[in-house]
Amino acid sequence: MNTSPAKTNNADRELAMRAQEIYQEACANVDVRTHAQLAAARRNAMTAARAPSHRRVWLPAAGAMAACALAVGVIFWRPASAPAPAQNPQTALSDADLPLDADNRQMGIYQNLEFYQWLARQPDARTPADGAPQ
Amino acid sequence: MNTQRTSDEVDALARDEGFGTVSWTGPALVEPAMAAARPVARSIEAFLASIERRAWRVAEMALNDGDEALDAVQDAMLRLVHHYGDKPADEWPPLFWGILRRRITDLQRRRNVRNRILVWTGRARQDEDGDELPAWDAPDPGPDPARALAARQSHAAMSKAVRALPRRQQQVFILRVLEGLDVADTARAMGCSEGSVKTHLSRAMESLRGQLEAWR
Repeated sequence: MNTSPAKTNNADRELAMRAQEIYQEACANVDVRTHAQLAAARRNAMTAARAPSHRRVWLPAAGAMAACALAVGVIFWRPASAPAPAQNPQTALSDADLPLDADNRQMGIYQNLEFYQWLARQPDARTPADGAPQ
Repeated sequence: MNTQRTSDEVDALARDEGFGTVSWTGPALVEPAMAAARPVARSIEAFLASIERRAWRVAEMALNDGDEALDAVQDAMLRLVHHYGDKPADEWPPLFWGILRRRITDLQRRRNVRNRILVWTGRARQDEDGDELPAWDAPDPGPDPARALAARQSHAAMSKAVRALPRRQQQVFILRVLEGLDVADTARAMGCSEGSVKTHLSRAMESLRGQLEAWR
């Protein structure tokens, strides 16, 4: 069916005007409960925007902490099943093995650590091979 | 009372509002009178207050559910204030409608998935049109119950017809015809080109043209 453009325009214009009227009337007659809920939603949106966001403060800090923890984990983690690297007893103790916060009293222990490691590798002190009194 | 304006009355209104002589070529030119009735809000709160009921009606029309519509509008308000509160006031309408459009689309998709699952498990409740029940809240009695009833019936008929349109045609009809956004703002709110807006609107009008009688 062919309709002239003018007729189509007229029909579209009528349709649009009627649709707007229905829409505007429906908007004007929103029930009281919904109206109150919409006003509350608007107030909540405004309040949320005005309130200082704790998340904005804590998120970067938490992110930095997580990154540090991850870095520490990556550096110090050793898989349990991986074989321990062979260590030369002579080079087992170096300055890098000393903790950064070791004080003077602890320094003695750490400096004698090589001796304690050697002692630990020896057979039981009560065995004859050790030269202990029978 | 018949509140429908004739084209001459709208022409006169447009002239009074300073838009000059209006040459009608389609629904696009209904917007000058609408735009004149909506001044730019001075604050974002005033903007939200001016738009909240229309936004809810639009969401309700698209979703056919008042509670979901309220959720969508609340979310759109929050996002607009949070992300775009510092934008110029004349940018708020397309931004707000764009946010609301995406929210409505999300809810429609979620509902489609839920419906498919419910249909698959045999637990869906649908009426003969395939709409979820219930479709209509209890009416709020006004000063003229007969007129209010007629208005609700017209609105229900229009909403049903709009919901039956494909999603993009639905959106363009709501934004261009009901909200009176111009082509550029509609395209911005819909995230498409101005040509697509015109094409979708033309198809939507073609689909709805025969239904005017049902809306009277």
